[in-house]
Amino acid sequence: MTGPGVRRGWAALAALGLALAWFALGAPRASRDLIEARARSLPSVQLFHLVAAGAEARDDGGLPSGAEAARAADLLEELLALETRRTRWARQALAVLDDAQVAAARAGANPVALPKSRAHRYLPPEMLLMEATLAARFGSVPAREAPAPDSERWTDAAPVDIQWGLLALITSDQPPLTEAQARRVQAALLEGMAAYEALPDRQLALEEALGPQVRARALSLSQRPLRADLALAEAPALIHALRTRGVDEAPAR
Amino acid sequence: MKHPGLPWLLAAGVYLAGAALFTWPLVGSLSEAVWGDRFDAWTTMWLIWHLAERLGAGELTAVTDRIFFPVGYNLWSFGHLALQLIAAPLIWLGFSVPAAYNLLLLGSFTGTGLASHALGRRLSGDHWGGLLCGALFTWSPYLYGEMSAGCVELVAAWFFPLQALLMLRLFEEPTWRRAAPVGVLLAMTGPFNWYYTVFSGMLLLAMLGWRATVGGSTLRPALLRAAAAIAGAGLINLPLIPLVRQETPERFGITAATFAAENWELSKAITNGQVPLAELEVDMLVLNDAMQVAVNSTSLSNLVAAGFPANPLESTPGALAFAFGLFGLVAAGRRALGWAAIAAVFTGLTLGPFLLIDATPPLPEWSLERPLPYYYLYNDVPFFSKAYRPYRLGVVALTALAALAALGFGRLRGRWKPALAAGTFLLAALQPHLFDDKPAARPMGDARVPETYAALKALPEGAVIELPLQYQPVSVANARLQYFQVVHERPMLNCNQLIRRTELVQFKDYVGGNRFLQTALDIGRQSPPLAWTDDDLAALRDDGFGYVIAHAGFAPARLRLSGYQGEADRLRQPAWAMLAEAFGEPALEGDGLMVYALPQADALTPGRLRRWTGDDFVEVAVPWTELKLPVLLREGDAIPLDGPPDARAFSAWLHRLDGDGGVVLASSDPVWSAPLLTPEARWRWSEVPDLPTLAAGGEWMLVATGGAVTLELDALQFRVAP
Repeated sequence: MTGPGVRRGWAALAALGLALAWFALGAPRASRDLIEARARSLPSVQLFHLVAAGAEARDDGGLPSGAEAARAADLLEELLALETRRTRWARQALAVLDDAQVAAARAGANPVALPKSRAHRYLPPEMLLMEATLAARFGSVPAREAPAPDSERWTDAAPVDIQWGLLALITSDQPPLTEAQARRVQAALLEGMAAYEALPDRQLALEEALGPQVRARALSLSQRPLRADLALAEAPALIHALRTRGVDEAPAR
Repeated sequence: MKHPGLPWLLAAGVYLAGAALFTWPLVGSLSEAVWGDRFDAWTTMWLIWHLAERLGAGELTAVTDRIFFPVGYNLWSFGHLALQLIAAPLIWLGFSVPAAYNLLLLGSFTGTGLASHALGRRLSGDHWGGLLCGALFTWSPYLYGEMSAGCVELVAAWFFPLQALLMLRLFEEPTWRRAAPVGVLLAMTGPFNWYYTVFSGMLLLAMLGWRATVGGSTLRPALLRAAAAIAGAGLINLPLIPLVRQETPERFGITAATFAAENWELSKAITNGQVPLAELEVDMLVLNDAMQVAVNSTSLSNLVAAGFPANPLESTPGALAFAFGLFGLVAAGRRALGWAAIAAVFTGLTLGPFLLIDATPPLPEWSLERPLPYYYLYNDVPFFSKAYRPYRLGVVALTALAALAALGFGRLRGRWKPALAAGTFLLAALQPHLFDDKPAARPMGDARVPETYAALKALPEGAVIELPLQYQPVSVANARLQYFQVVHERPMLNCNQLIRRTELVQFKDYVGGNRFLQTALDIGRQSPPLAWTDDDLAALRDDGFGYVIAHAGFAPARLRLSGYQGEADRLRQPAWAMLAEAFGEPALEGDGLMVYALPQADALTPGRLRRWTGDDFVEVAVPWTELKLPVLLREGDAIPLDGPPDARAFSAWLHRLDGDGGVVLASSDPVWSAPLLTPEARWRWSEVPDLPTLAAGGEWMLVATGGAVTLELDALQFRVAP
């Protein structure tokens, strides 16, 4: 390069190099961070927000009554069962693995970036990937499998960590799963997927049954940190309160 | 002596080769496949064929009843006709419709490349600078995204670099001779694309604003002549403005409340076709139109990534354009500030009325409290609301970024410059094959028409109703059914252009007046009872209809983008029972197509009610139908079905994705089996009549035979005694 624009020319090329490096290395990460931050801030009403809001409404006398209360109690019971299945399936899957496989799952529990799923409205992509991998390798579950008991191993891990570990184990197949293990893991996985699928619609129904005031309260609760386990501990008392209002204040026929 | 046109001829060859690379593997299947298995490619092919066919017959009219029969559809509603008209001669020369479409696409890329090359050459002073500018503008994620969506009229983006070039010439020497082409080009843009007319006007105003800040003795004549050119173009297009409004009906203002959470839900339900047609009101459709402004805005996460996505809604000018834009700004300094400002302003406008972090609705409250510049322009500037897809304003930013790159390139000296330009050209053209989700690796859309449609052409006269009838393009089938008219040539009620509310309201009125059509509407997802009277069929006969077509087999969409509602295409019971009992044997059958003739008037009984309750059908669920996931069965694997022991018949939709095996419906006691249809890569509906009665403890099951098979399953239904 020659002439009066030499310095400017080199600066331009350096800017080009830096910009390309940013788009190749920094931009994807920055974009992903934005998406994750947005996901964390979404005002979706989780089950535990609804329970906490319902508990507050119970104390303020803001719960529905009559048929709506009875329906809300039924829905809440159903939702709690689904929520249990949603979080428990991974522990059931762990129960059918041997120690070496559990150790491999623990080692692979660090989340890695997966493409955002466009295949399904609710199911996390890691579950879809596990199901597809198992189905491709071992075929379908030929008959209804008895659910495995919950595992007592790796109890210090959150369900999501166990799910990531299972995904790592299944995709690497090291140590390999036997067919019998794979089928029981698959059965547990399908149960978890079914629970995932059913949750949003039931939750919407519960929101409707609890009424707009409780929903608004739940939305405002969702803006601040809330301990899910403490909130859910209120659920039995809330169900009792709804049942009482459902029976005592049902319109006379 | 070298002919002055030779470099341009060479450049045309280079851009054509670049287009082949960019769209690869399209050139290997020009007559059989198209990029963009969404909606627009199919309707554009239909439009090319329709224009050629009607023009050839000397019967082209603005309103056609070939689609949306018998009400008719105004072709101006497409908003772009000129480019498609260019392809008409190819049809007359004997090219197939997909070949004409694909040649038009390759030609559009080449034309866009040459126009941006010309701008780059002027700014840089040589053809290598032209090549750099052409590469950045043409091989961009924006144009690839529009190609992927089948919007060939948006790939023909040559207007922007040409307009910029003509304006630069005018600024240099502000004569009427140089002003005239500015006006002529702007006026010509209209019939090609109304979006681009508005966008071109914005580019012109931005360049004039920039010129005004520079000042000088030629400022006044330059502004005067440019303003006259724009006004002249406006006058020429004045008679067309009512037709422009046809394409985009009046758009009302937007506020933060427009984008409230419940409105997102309503909009999603409308576009998924899940709001009952009878409940659709104009104010809901107006709201749905307004929601498109946010849906079509660039999100911050996409802008930061500036990647190479397949989805045009995620596209931006792209990493290469931004990086080279910065390069040009640094290299050219003050001379580049105008282009840099245009790039920055229009990139900002792509963000839409409120900032979206990602595409997940609803918008955060802090965002709704801080409107962006687009918001004010949309609400307050006449005609600006025509730009209701903000991400498309990125094409103006792209023009400025490519110009910046060329300007900077021209300021440098060195023997490596040709290598930089050629290397960038190659890298840019290869982006779809190398980066992000590698969109070039996706399957293309199969543009072959089932042969049975050719036989349909030979049946006695009568318009057709394809099932399911849809008021929104909930799956790609709706658009493909319209495209298939290029072979059968019969008028049809179905229309893929009902996304515009004016036509949708007309559709609602027509369909709402006939109970058979109400039944046909979204019949794949409609719950029984299905009911209508013979009078409804008689009315259809009187209107000129002759046939109802149902699909027991079809090739599924190869892409499943968000919002996919493919299950709507699969008719289930009691719809099949209704068709068989009401219309008898199909007049034509093949390729999974069932063509039923509407009964003649003497076979209809005035006032007779026909009703199918569906009470005699039981649907069984297995995990894979509930989760909509494929299942792999190895030979002998069985899926138990919880069906009634005394079932009379069984039916199901199966889609064989992989493997050589077949599937049978079997019973364990008595030992019995019957094959189900599983052609490769097609959804197929099978019916097994006359089932045996199960013994106590016996079980129904689906069993893989003859090898492994990967399947999708849907609508597993047993027929029982009523």
